[in-house]
Amino acid sequence: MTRMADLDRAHGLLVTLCEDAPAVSSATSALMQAFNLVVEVHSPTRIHLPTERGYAERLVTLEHLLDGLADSSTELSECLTLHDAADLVREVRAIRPAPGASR
Amino acid sequence: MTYGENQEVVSAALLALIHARSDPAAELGEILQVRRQAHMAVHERLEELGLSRHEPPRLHLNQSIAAARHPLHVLARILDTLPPVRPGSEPPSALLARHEGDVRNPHLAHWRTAARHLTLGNHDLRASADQAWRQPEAAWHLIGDLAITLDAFVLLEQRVATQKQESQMLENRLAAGSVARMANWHATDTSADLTFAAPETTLGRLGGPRIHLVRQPEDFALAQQALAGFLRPRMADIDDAACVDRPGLLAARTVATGQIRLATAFASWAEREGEHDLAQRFQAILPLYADLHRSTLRLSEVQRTASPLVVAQQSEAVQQLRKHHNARVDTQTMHALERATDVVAVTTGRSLRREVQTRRNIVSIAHEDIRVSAVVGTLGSCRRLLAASRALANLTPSAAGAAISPTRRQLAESLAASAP
Repeated sequence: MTRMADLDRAHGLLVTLCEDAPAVSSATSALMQAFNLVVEVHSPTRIHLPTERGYAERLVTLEHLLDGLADSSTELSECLTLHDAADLVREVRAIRPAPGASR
Repeated sequence: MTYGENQEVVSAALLALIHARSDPAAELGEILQVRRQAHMAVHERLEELGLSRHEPPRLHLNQSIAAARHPLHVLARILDTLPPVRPGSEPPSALLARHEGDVRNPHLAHWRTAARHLTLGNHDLRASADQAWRQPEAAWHLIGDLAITLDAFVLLEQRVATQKQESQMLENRLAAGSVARMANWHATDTSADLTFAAPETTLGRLGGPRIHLVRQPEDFALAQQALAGFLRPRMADIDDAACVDRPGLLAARTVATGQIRLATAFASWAEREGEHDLAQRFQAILPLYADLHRSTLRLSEVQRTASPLVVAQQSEAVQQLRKHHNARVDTQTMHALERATDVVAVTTGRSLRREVQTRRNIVSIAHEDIRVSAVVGTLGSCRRLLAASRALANLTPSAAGAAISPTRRQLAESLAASAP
């Protein structure tokens, strides 16, 4: 997969996560912030809707994607922005743990 | 202090002078000098509003027509007919400063307060981050305040007027009343009340635009006002081909996310102070901003907007929340915060609607490919954004600074009831 495709995927995941987010909470706010950071780095021309269905599953995929993108980034500002976005997704997961996660 | 708060103090001082039972007995010379400063401050404001830029009426117009067409000149003429006072030896800075002796002479104290706060109000207007009060709807609000102030000046002069001067005084009061009435009809925007002199904190070098830094919890209201100022459409936007300062998707998303964080914190502060109604009002804004953000998810821009001032000001407030998240603020500050937060919401809504409807820079991203609504000439793809913006713009309770003007209203009522 190319880097661009990964960015498109991350964007698509964030679009659906933000759209499906429940009432306003600190998790919603963190997701919104993560979306703002990703569109700062990448502005896609199409939306790639994710294949993952579950909310928690999408969060896990997104976190891995953002970590990978940040680590492979060759530009400092982009790398830091993506790390920030990944941290925010971790924050959301901490508020709402994925199914099957240790209790 | 904002312009509105300064004008409230002026009105309270003038009300106290009108209701004073006796005429001043002591320190008449100083009272006259301070009063001269008040008259000069009014003249300065007339100039700020464009007195010299507008041609004076050539013909002698009917008084009511003159009030409608040349309100600034009508007010300037009233000011000119007030008895002149020769300048004294004391500089304005000494005359306007608070004096301990004023406690013994309320007349002098009230005149000094009025003069000082008229001058401070002028400064707020002149040094505001944006100059939105120069828009006609907002300027009428200021003209109305000036008309009432001048009406009060004339009423106070009338008490010591000779019989010969009385007909002139009557004419002046009727003229001031006509201008006040005109202003009341036309002043649809009271947001000028929230204008304040932006502190000398600059973004970048060479005296760039001012970002209000949040040093203490009380600064959040001023930071919100500065943000609203940066969001407000400006004349310069028309020529801003590079979209640098225009509000767009970046501004919408940044403000939505930042305001949710701020309003959540403000709600918890209000709750802690037992201000449950205020807390609910802050919480009521949250879904509106969430909707706004959600409405932008599938949108993009033909030409990317940067909105650096909006982003910097919003970021400053959100960053400082970390330091002040457990702040304790008094009720007055809470109300100021609520008013300023409402103004940000209303201004965001209005600016985005204007941007979507007039520029067609915002486009929808389809699943397959980009679809440019600007090209096909439809606003359909931005319908959600328009609806979310409208919801914010229609936030009414104390929205757009719905002017905190109880004392000004009281002064106007008192003047209406005071026969010449």
